Amino acid sequence: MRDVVEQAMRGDREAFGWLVNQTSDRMYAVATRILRDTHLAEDALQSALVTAWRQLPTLRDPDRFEAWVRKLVVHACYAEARRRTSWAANVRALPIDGPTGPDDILGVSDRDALDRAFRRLNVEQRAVFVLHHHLGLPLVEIAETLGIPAGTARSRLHYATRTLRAAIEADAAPVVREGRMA
Amino acid sequence: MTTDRDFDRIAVAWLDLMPDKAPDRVVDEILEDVALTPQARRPLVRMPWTSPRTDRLLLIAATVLLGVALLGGAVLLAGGSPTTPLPTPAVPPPAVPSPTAAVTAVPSPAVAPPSVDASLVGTWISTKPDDLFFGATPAGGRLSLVFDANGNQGFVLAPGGPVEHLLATIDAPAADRLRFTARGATEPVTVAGATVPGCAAGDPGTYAVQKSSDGLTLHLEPLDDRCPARSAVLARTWTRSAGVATGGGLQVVDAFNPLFTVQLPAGSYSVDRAPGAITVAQSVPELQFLAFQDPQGFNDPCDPVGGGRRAIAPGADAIVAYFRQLPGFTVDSVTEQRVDGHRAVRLVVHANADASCPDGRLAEWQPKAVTNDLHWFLRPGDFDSLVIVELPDSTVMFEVLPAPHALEDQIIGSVRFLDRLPTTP
Repeated sequence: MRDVVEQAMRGDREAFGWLVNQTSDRMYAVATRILRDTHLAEDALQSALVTAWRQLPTLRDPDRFEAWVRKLVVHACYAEARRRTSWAANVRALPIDGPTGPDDILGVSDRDALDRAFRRLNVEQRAVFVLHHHLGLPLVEIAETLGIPAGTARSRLHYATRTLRAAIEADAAPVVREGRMA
Repeated sequence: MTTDRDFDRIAVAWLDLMPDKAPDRVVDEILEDVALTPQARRPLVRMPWTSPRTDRLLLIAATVLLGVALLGGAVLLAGGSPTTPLPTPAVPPPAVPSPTAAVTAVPSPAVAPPSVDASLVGTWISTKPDDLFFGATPAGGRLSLVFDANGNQGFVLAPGGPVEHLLATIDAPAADRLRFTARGATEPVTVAGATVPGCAAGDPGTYAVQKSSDGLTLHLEPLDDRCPARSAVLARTWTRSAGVATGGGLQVVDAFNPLFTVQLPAGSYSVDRAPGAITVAQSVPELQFLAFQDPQGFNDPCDPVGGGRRAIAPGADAIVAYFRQLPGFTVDSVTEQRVDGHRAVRLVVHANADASCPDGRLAEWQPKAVTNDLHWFLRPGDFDSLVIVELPDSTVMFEVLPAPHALEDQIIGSVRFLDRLPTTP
């Protein structure tokens, strides 16, 4: 891949197109998980990859291309999540009834509880949680990707995990809950 | 009680519910944007903030390094061979279909010609004469001239299509000259009903360049062009445009009529357009400049589709009145100001923190030009800082995000409305 990255760094759009095809699914998966919104994730992916093309000549180490793009995607997710306002079409919605997971692991109530709790996390905490649990990145690499100290990455992951875990456990408790969405 | 291992499995299963595949449509849009987006130039030397003395030393060192590099290049060209072969991809990337009108490729010159001025990189637009046609292009609209910094290439886009016309290698034989060399044979154009022949591959054309002092316009005057079609198209005054991506600076925004110019900080922005609206945004540092024309509202901010649209009369006062009656919103302040001599109102409005809609979003408005359900919204507790400008024929709203933004007054204050694109330098 290094050679193709170097070609793209010299302005070869076909080489960059190849890189887009190689990485876009993985980056989109990260963005949808952080943002929990396919429309925002599409915007984040598009913004990050066009920025990657523009800034590619400034990439210092071609072997770090994917990590560099991942960083751009996470930052694009920050920007999307922090948009005070955004375009939104009602047809675009979370695939709540979309792909089904293994129900023996994840019940519907767990799913709802996680959805609600995840919305309460800030986008920085979401990013660390997704990079750790979805991509399996160690904290050191997460910290490097996000440009934050490892201790900060650890505390964000700790807070996110505690929040989501508490949500599942609270949901499992035999209490009467109101059904109104926040 | 959930064990760590249980939680990890549940978390992974829950994360896996989201889709993994980027929609083809989005990938196509990315590639289309890339096709029209120039790359940043590679910096010669990265200089951290240093004392003036160190700056001078670094400058000298950079000059020496540049000289050594040029000397080394000259030695190589004189017969030497590079010690390291140029990298070639182990797996050749598949060809990406490029909407290019060129047919026959011209080999790149062995010696890189003088580069074009970096300030030319990007998109320039000009009003298309009604009697100028590329094939079946529509009568009106605008031409775009796109300079690509890396390949020193350029091409022209006609209204209504992404096809790259008159693709050429571009170099600058002198500071006030540009030379276009056709990358392939190009189609003829029609001017005033007469067919003007296209270029043959390799056809050169030299143009005198006149840039305005503010960098907003570029006038090209043909000195010698072997390609009549190119001369017919390029010989005019072009205005810098936001295009699909921009590096900032003074530029015209052609999202709707009236056109306007705005000065943005240098950066790396992508541009999103919708009918009657435009967003110019960069992620790092985060900055978004937005413009909307003639908003219309909604009766129910929780149900913009089912609740129906609510007409808003022209003018800033009507928009303020709309927000004052809109459930779930609070108007924080209304301040009179002027933008380019026109009456304007700065409206700060927020969605109430306790406002509750099923999807957590409160719909605000959409431009009248939007005919589907695209709309602008706020989340509870968030706010807008809008500058609403009253023009003779329309109402235009501007916003700079994230709000409040230190550059809001500077950016919106730089807006100048245009009746038409400049036709002279």
